[in-house]
Amino acid sequence: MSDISQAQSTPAHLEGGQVSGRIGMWLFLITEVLLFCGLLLLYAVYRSKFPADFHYCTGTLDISLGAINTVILLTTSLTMAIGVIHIQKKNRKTGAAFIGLTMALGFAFLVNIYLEWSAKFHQGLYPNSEILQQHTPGENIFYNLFYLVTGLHGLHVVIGIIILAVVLIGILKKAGKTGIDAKTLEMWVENSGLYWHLVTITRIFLFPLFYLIT
Amino acid sequence: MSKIGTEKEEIKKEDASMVSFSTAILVWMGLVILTGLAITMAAAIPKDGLNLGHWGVIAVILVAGIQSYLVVRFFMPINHEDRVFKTILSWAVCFLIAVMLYTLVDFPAW
Repeated sequence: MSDISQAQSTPAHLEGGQVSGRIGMWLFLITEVLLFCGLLLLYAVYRSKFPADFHYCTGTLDISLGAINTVILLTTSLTMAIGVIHIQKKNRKTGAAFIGLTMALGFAFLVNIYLEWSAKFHQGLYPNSEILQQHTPGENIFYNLFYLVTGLHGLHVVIGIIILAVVLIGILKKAGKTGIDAKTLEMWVENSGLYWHLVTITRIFLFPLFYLIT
Repeated sequence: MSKIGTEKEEIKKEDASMVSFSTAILVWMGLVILTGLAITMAAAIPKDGLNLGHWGVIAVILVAGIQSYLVVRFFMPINHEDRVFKTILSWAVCFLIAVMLYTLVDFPAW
């Protein structure tokens, strides 16, 4: 009887320490949500103060590049989810392939961000530049917020790629050599998946706020 | 006998916690379509005389909210977490939304 009640209250593929690991990951994700919500709230407040400047600056951003980047991250969420499914079904090599694909697409996202930033840098629109200082305060605030939020998001993508690389190494090596049992490795994969999906969710909100709302 | 029954229940729960491949692909297609919808709405607002005003902003954010729900529900399968934890998470999100709304009420230029 007690076994059934425990099975009902705990996800079946997780055991004691792994449950706490999963909950810890969710709590960390909540703090990340607080971080980005604070920044997006800052954006919203300044937008209300400088609507015309923000409207103008939104028009200077490349919607097609932003949309492509968003679709890339949505695709990484798909590949990550499929990778996790394969790992849960004990298909290590296939799972590793999809996690590798996620990393590659994440890198492509970073390349696009680099292209977008370098285009703006080429126009002299970077923080504390002489050209930007000649613009209105609202435009200054918009571009600074743009670099801050997209830069912080890009940093999260970099961290996510590093985490996935560590997980990938753990998957590709045999469990006996690394000393990591299969259940723990599965937890690593699932938790890194949770982190990656949060990065995608951040982009889902970031894209319309900076690129679409005029 | 009861042990075998418990093991069968655990295997069923384990399968239930996994999202199927077709579901994942369908969710991805939905996410991409919603992104296209948001772009279309945003493009239609100034050009085609579709003056949605503040509702345009709300519509675009609503689309983003739906996309986030799809990711949380299917890719980060929250449904299979402990009920207590789901409740805590829901309250945290509701509190966050309330704080954001209260802040935005002070800036009605939206």
